[in-house]
Amino acid sequence: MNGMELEKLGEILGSYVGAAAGSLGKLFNEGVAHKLHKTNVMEFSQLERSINAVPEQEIVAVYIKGEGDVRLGILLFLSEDNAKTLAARLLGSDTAEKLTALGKSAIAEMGNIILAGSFLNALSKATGFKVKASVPGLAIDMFRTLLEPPTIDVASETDQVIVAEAELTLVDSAISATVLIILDPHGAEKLLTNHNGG
Amino acid sequence: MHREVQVDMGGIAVSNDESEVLTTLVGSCVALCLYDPYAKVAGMAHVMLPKSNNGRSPNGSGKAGKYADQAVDNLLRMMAEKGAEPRRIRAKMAGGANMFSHEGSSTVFNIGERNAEELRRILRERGIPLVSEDIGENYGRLTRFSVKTGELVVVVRNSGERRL
Amino acid sequence: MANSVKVLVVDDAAFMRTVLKQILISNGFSQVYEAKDGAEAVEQYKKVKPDIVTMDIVMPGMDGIQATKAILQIDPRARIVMVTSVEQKHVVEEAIQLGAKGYVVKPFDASTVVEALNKVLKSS
Repeated sequence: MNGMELEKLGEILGSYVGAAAGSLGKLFNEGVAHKLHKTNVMEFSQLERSINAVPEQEIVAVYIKGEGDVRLGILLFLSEDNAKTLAARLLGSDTAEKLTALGKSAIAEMGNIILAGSFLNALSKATGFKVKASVPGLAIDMFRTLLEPPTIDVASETDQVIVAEAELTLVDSAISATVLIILDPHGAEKLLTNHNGG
Repeated sequence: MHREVQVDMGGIAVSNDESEVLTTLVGSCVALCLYDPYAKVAGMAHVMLPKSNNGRSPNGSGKAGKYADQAVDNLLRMMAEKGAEPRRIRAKMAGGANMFSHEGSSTVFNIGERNAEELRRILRERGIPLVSEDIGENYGRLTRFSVKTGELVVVVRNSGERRL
Repeated sequence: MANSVKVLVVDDAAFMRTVLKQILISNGFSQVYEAKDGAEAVEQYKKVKPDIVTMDIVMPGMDGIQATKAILQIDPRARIVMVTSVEQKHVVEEAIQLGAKGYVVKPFDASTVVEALNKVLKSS
């Protein structure tokens, strides 16, 4: 993929992230800004270096795998503090001391709603693709180790991957989360070819 | 003082320099460590997948440690080049965790288990004894493999060190 | 004022089941049953014989589309309202064609769910 195609792909993915941002805003009753950083192609082992996250830093992540007309690995991650805050708001509780089982369920479901839901809904509407989402997986661990499952899924038969990194920010609360979208080159080309303004 | 040699996802490193320690972080991937204690040759592969989806690992992955079967063969070849003897080689491995869980259950995202299973099978087939392993669970591991001693140290957050 | 309507809430997320249950109880539906995947939904349907079902789609094992199909085979008059994050056209069409009586997309307002359920209950 050349630079122009990557840029176009970035715009396309950015539009789907916009849909996810809208949903996140509805969930928390607040404006959500979204920004998609550059979309890149690279060998998968370079992923950790190109992403704006500290490899050993502990994060809370939600992973959704999309399969069908296109295969995608979507990883949403945020700091544990932010996850506790958002979980408390979703559960309507006062304190955000610890991420309980119900809190984790809330964060995973948040990922499900904005990614398996809104993101993929927008993608499907714009391309006509059928994409089946996995149930959301939740993990709390070092960023670098949580990068493995989506990388394994997308790079199973290719060494090259396309990655787009986006940031979602709840504007009033100033809480941010990162969304990584990982695709194989074939899937990326299909998306480019079939995306139709939406 | 030892020097750390980082192994990337899907990568491989082989060394006979006793001042070196091969190291990698693993989640669902498996750090496969092979050692010839007589020649003091160590090899580490960061294995991501059992085999490609169509049952045969494709040729031409630039990452020599990516697929389990290719990783073992590549390690053996590279170690032999540094003076290792296949008959003396023993294996240790760590990783293969189910990192993500769904509503508390970790059976949905289980590539970690499958990687470990496939490696055990291949090692058996090649007649390489697997002397120790720290596999499974649901957490990431930092692994350090000493070229000098063949000891594999596994560090788990909040849990300290394990020596294999 | 509680009604006597039995609702079966099907969703794999404990959080969502909690939210839906709270919404239902606040709106007069005091008899709320739960299932966390499609297989459990079918079992619960047979056991509880609810008046109406809210059905998630993305669930482990048997998903909501398959569960909807299975329940309607057991009881062709089952009232199932999909409550899901998925709005892909082919999925919505399949659910409706199978016989789902309503389709609510997450994230939803409490009133949207309640209205969807009441609409279905009134029309039968």
